[in-house]
Amino acid sequence: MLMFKNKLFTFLLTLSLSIFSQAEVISVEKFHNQAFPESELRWQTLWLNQDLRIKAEKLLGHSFKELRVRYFGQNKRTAWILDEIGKELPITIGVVIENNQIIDVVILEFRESRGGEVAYPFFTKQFNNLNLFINEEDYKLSHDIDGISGATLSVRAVKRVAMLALLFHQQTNFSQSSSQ
Amino acid sequence: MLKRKLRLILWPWHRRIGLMAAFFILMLSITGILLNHSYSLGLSKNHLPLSIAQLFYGIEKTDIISFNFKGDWISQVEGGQLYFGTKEFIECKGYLVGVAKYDQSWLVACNHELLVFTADGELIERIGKQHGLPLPLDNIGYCTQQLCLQSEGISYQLDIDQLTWRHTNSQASAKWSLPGNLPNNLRDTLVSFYIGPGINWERFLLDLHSGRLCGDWGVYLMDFMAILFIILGLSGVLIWFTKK
Repeated sequence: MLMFKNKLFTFLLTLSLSIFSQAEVISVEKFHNQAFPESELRWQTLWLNQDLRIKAEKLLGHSFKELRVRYFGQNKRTAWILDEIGKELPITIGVVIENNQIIDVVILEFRESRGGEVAYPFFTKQFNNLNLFINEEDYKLSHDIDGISGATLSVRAVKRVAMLALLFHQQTNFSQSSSQ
Repeated sequence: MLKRKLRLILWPWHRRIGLMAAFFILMLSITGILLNHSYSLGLSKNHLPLSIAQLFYGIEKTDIISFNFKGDWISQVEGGQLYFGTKEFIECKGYLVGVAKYDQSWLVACNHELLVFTADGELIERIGKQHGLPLPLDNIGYCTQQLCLQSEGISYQLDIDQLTWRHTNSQASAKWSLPGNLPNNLRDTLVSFYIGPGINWERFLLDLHSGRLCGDWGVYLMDFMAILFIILGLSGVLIWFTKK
């Protein structure tokens, strides 16, 4: 009986997470304020050279056509807002990086009907303090991320964006100041 | 006596059926000869003009939105693919609403994003909801020589370098991008990209020959005509013999 109750509770929790996950949309301003409290919203620009584009495409596993990427930066910290398709629709993901380590991952908008669990802290907190390992052009996070059953593609998309943001961060002046 | 009576009955019907069938005999003969020499005439390699294909094959008119900017055409076919002249760009989110130029780059505004291209048509960036862009976009243009956006009736002065937009009241002096009429040859090329090479002459003649050009009723009509040809042939033979 207790086991049944537990299963029912888990089912209802998953169901409610799936339903409510679609509703919340975090604005750019709110994300910026979380990453850089009390500072003015000012975009920075990272121009992608051929080499960086190839790396980005290898990491993502698909083409990356844009020549420049916008981000926020201050002192040793950068914040990136990137779109990546989970199954069919893009997930807007925010990644905050300091000292070449992720300090926060936020799902700004999740558009798919399933897999919205990736927006919750129990998943996004796994990325905190991770950095990027590059081994013979193979990109990996410094620690494994636990998946979520039924949200495999969304989990992959968040992992790819986290790695891409770490790669982009390394190309900015804010990263160089962190190593000094 | 019997022969004469039979001839008198057959002869007017033979003439009436002959008159009815004349057009179809001519059409079937001509299309038949052409189809027999289809390869040497290159009928399978040449395609029907788009207007004829649209008329006979129910191909719906392709929706193309185009903007002319100092002689260059930027178009969107069926709310998806963008073209610079006939060169394929990428798809943009929503319908194309305007085009503007800033320094050496092109700004292409669609309902749900703003695309920035180099002069060579290479994508620089997509600016959208993830950048806080006011959406949906209604238009793009210039307000007192500054880049301007319009969203839900509100005008914003755009700084593409700093990626900022602030509300402006210079609505009266705004010069918004206006759609233009794409030249026919360019339009036909874009439509052919969208619907493919179209219908070749061999297919058209085969469908005309079989009556399929007019759907099921065309086929029934050709069946009926074939029966008339049989009657015409038989009545012709009988009239010949009764005359002797």
